[in-house]
Amino acid sequence: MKSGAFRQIVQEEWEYLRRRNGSVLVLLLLLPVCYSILFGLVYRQNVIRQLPTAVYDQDQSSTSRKYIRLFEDSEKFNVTAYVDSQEEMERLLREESVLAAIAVPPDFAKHIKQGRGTETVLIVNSANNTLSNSAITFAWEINRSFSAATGQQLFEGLNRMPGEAMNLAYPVHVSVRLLHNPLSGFSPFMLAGLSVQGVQIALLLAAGPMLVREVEERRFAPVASSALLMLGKMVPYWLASLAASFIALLVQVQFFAMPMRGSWLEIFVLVNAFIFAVLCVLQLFSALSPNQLTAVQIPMIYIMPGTLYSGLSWPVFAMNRAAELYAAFMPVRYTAENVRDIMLAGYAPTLWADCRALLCGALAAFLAARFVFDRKRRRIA
Amino acid sequence: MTLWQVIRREKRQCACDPRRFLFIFGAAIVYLLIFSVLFAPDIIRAVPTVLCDEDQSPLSRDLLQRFEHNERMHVTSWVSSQEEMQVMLREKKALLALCIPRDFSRSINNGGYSTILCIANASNIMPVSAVTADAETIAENFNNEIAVKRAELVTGQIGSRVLSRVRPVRTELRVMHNPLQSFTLFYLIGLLAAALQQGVFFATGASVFQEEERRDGERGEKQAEAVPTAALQGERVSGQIPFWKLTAGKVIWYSALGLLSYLVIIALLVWVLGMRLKAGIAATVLAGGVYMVSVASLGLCFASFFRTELRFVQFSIAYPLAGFILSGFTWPLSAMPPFVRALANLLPQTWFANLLRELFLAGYSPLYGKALVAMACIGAACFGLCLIVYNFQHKTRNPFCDFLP
Repeated sequence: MKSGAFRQIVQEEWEYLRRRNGSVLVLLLLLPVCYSILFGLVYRQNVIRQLPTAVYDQDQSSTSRKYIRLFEDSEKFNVTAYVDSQEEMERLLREESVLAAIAVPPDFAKHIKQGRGTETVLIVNSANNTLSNSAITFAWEINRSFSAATGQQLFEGLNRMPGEAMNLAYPVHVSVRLLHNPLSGFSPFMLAGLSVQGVQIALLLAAGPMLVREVEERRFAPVASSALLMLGKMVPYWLASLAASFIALLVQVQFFAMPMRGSWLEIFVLVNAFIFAVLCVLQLFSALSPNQLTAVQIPMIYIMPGTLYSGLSWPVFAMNRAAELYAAFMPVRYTAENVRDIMLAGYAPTLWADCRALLCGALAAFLAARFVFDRKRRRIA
Repeated sequence: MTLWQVIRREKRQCACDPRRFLFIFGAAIVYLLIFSVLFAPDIIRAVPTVLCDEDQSPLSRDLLQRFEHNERMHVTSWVSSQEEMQVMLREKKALLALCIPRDFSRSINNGGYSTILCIANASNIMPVSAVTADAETIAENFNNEIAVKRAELVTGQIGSRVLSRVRPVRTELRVMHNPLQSFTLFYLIGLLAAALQQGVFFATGASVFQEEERRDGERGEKQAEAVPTAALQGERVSGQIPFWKLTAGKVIWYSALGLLSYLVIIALLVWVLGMRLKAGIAATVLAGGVYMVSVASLGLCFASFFRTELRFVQFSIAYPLAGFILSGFTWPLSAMPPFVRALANLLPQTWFANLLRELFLAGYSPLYGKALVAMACIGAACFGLCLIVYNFQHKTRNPFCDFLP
């Protein structure tokens, strides 16, 4: 009896989605995929390159030209202007014709030869941190290499052998290894998490009104308990968003060079737990809402900040207590990073703990939603 | 009916539907609260770090102490082997690992060199780029000290003179506009531009669909010769107002409300969060005003394609995340492929978010005039398209043209 009612609820919800809400079903299926394609295209370059840069070489010596050539040869910088005055350099920065500028002082080569040392100036427009971070990091690297090589030459000038001279100038080396995302690329950093957020948004707009619509239309009042009704209504959204999640991730792997180093099975378990949690939370909002419109609008405050509260970019350890607490109630907080870790690193150390957290949260939301929904149904009856 | 009367009519309708005030003022204030709490720490500090000292010499301890004292690093554990370090990284108990190799001090004391190993989990590049840069700077300073001491012994010259040989070229760094690279300054303004947009979107949508419901109500009343409700009696004029006037009235009214909300947000940013608005208030208000006009027009245009308010809201929810990423606020427009950049340039948010951030941080924007013209053009195009769609619906007697079945 119960299984028959359950099947009927699932079928009717699916028919409702297909016949009366076809455009929303299309959105539910396509939004995560569209996000993957759109954001994959946005981040296709992966790392910041060709930062427009001005050079102000006051020395015009072979040493200064050698120094500047390092910037010219670096793919990170694109030297678009050579200026003759400080004013011109500042004008270009002000007009944003360039976003970085390198100034080489007069007597640059002479001071180096005399062993007096010299100081170049790097000016970076930091209105956008992404650009300025990249410029600063690579300018430091270029400067370090140039300085070490020049230091070595100076010691060679003091009758030291090249190896000894190098060790004199540069005794402590640092070998940096970046795990999982060696180029510090934006695609591996953001894509997986954004598609998870896409799934969440698609669920919000499609499944948000599901319980309040039931209250309005009272279709299943006599045949099913609230819990059965809630579970049955979830199924079509669950399956559609599960399919959409996998298509979105496959698109990333196939077309946007996202690595998939972990197990699809782990992703499957995690995404299922996530979808279940999101649906339960949406059911709670839906049960509390007075109408379908509110059921979609109110959860936006909760769902939309998910991208930034997920720990995907701003890390959880850097959040203060209030932010951490708010993030703790968001399913995306337990999912986005894990999906990224499975794809990039091949494992997610907190996978099972986070799946448990998702299921516990889902259960709590489900019970709360059931309580509210039940009361509403009884009141109507 | 004059345009002024249409605006007043819109005002009365808003008074009957307070949701619209809530959308316009509430969304931005709630997002301001949510995101200012998130970015309250401003920069990323205390990145979990594991240190491994295989050398256990005074020299290695000296270097590790410097890492330990850096505020970006939070040393969660000290381990004695690289294997343990790898485990800590694997379990994500640390995002950065620094290892000083065996024979570190002996190699250096013997006139050779030694290599420190710095391993970072770069899945999340935000904390890692900052902390590895700090680690490299610490190591470089340490390197310079050692090199100077050693060169003093070898050359017999004094420290400052030797330092100029060890590090002959130094770079003075000047970071314009956001010297501390604060994340609040970097992110918050763009997020608020998105929230304001969403609020105006929902409010204009509510207004359009109430109009449609009213028109339906009027038609139904005529058919049934029923007595109209008191609310409808006072407002039954929508059929007599030309479309352009009705739409212009809505654009003006919701732009004005949006502008007011924008000013409230600016005031909160300046007086509550202590952000400094470097640009003049007139330039800031003008930019906000043009943005609100373009957003209200875009909202009305978008709403014209939908059958019901619910459907409009459902579809418009898909837009904010895409709009934010496309705006170039985080990943720069210059790094996007040309056709994506062209698409991004069709959105008012792209022009406004970057503009407002520059007005706050730099006090000017070289693209100010261009951005204003672009937003005005987008607004005008949306307004025109909106009129075409409504006129089409009117002529075909099909009041709605949902673009999906």
